[in-house]
Amino acid sequence: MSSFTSSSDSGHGTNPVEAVLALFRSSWLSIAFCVFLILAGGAWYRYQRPREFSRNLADTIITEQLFRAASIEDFDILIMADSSALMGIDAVALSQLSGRRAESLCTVGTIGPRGFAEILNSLSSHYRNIPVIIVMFSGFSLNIPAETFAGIPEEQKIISGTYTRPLSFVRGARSKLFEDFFKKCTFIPSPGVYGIYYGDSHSVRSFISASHGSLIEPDMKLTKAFAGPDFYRYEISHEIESKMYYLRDALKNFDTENVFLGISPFPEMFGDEETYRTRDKTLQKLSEILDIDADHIITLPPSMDDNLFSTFSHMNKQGRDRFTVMLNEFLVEKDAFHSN
Amino acid sequence: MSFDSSIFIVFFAAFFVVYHLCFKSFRAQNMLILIGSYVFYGWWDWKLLWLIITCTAANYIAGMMLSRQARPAVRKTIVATCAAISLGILGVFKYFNFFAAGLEACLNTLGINAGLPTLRLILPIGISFYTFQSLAYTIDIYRGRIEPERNPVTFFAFIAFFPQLVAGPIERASRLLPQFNRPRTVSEPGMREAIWMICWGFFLKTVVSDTLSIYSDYAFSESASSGMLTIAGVIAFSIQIYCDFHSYSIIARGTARMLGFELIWNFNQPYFAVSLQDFWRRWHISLSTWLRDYLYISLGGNRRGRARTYINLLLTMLLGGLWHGAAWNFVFWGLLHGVALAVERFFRESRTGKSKMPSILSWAATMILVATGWFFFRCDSWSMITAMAGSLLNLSWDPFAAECLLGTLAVALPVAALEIWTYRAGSQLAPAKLNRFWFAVATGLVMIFVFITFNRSYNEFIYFQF
Repeated sequence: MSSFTSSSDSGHGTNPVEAVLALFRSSWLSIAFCVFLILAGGAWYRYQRPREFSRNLADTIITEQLFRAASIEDFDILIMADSSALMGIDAVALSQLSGRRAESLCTVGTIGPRGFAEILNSLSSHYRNIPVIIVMFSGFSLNIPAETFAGIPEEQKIISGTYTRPLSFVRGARSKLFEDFFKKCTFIPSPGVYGIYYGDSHSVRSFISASHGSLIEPDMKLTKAFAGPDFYRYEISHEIESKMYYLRDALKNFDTENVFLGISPFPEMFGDEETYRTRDKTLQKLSEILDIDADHIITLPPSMDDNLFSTFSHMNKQGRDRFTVMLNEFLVEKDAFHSN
Repeated sequence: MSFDSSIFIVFFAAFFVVYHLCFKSFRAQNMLILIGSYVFYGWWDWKLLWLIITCTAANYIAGMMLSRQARPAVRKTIVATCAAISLGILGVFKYFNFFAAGLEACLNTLGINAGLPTLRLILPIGISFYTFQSLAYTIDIYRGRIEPERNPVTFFAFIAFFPQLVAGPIERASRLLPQFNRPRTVSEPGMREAIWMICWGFFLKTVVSDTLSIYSDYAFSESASSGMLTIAGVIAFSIQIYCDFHSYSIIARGTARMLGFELIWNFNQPYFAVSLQDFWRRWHISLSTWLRDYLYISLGGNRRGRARTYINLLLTMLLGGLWHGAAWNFVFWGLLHGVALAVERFFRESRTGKSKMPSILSWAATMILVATGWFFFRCDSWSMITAMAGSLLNLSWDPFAAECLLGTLAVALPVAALEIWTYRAGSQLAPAKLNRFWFAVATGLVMIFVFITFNRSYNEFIYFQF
């Protein structure tokens, strides 16, 4: 039988100097090697910045659209909206249908109107002469309460310039080494169905770039469980209304009279009288806040067949194709391309 | 706090210095370990500290009472009471709702409408580990294998020792307690081994396990339709769970070594196993030996005939499955291993002559069985099991699954390479025995990969939930 209890507390362990020295002697060369790699990575990052990697889809979309806003020019139609139009309007198809080059700078609703304004300001700093600008919202984006903005950092990140500012030396090294060592060895898909449809975040960015700023919502079966009808009441939350003025000021930087305002369609299953009624009232209110002529409100059907949607606010590819055709017909009817 | 959190790095750096400052008294160091361990555990939820204190106190008192009691009947009562308290806490917090729901379902099937109550309890982290460790101590005293520890600080520190508190290894008193009762020393070679274990542990967690979790999360879905993705996901999860748990065990071993303690190896290259029995000698060794010594042998082991041996194996693995959690997927997993171990034993005992399956075939068969077990282990609903099993009928080419499979192979490659090397070298610590330059290159590279992947996606260690 073994006994544990020691009768005395005699005998010394390793004193702290010896312990720290043993730790130092065993690790200093490894740490030096690691620091050398970090320094090399940091310097390499300064020399050649990689396209920032994030698994977060919203971050990927915003980063790419900010990159595009700072560089695109010579186009005729700008689509500025949340993800409902990012997935709901095909800028390439609109270009083909209208014979004018269309570019989308749509992102996600959680950057709010102030985030939209930041993107527009980036664009207007180098390109102002856009004949047609289309501004759209989904019902969901208009209802975002203050606590959601507090909980989702995209708006703050876009205002503070986090998406565009170069990383610090160490973070830059981390990013560069991740891209050039790790990311090339393995596959890190975007989350959910986007990963299966697009692959990794670089594929998402490449798709956005090649599609004039548009994306396709991967097909999913739409069920009512996705959202309650409350999302489609369209009342503008106080938080969103207070930020609309940033967007109004940003729109004034462009040399155009043809700013069109719309609300993205929603699946018919969510439609009721109250929804349709509040939608019209909200459009009127938005046109007043943004100082857009009431005649420039996009009067397309407020709802579309459920089969044309993947989620409660995102159309599927078929829905996107149909809505893009309808939008082009509306613009032609309004003589948008000749009156400017 | 978790090993892969920034706060733990700060905590351990401070603890390391203060601990070695108390080098003149190992009892002072024990007190420090006790305080540090409760801070470490309380960081998650200090309100759960009373559970570990109660469990430890019950076993401490039982140990002391057993040492003063010679009458077998009384000794049996003491150990039974202590087991009831320890397992009672575990049962209420971990299994009450599971069994209540199961009983209610049975009664409903019989037409009895029994509205049994459910408890709204959170599962205390590490409860299965410290309950088993403390219970083993009391049973060992009862069996006369060890003497009780009289110093309460030492005993409480032994149960709460933070490197192995929340996810093992489940240490035996006969191994670990003596280390609390003597001065602990650290040397440069020991420190090299500790550094390697910690670095490699973090690599397994942040580089391998967290990356593989992305693929397995895709594959384990109730709407699974691609057989290729199911296969890729099961392979990814099989490697993920090994790397995740092994990583915790070796970080625990490394941190303990930096404090002068020697913990057991919890894994010994389990995926080199050529039979299921071999697998269980290599996988979660501290649990499998616990189940063998305190459950299988208590049930009679192989001493009561062949039929009883198979039943004992089945029961042991069933309870081993249930130890992982109160859910049917763990029961299925345990049952599968129990049946397979019994069948394997039957064929081994019935085999005549020297006919033996070639190693490569028995390895492949073992791995298929183990991976099938992980499939049940990871599926958390019946609809997921049926959807994924059904997807195997569709084995058409799936580029996404192919990318996941390639990604799995890419991150598993360094692990496989190291396992082969250490297997051939006969020591899991072979990298720590490299010369100074190559050791620096190996650990430096491992550190840099940890640096670039650390905190990219926060996934808790899988075994925390058990």
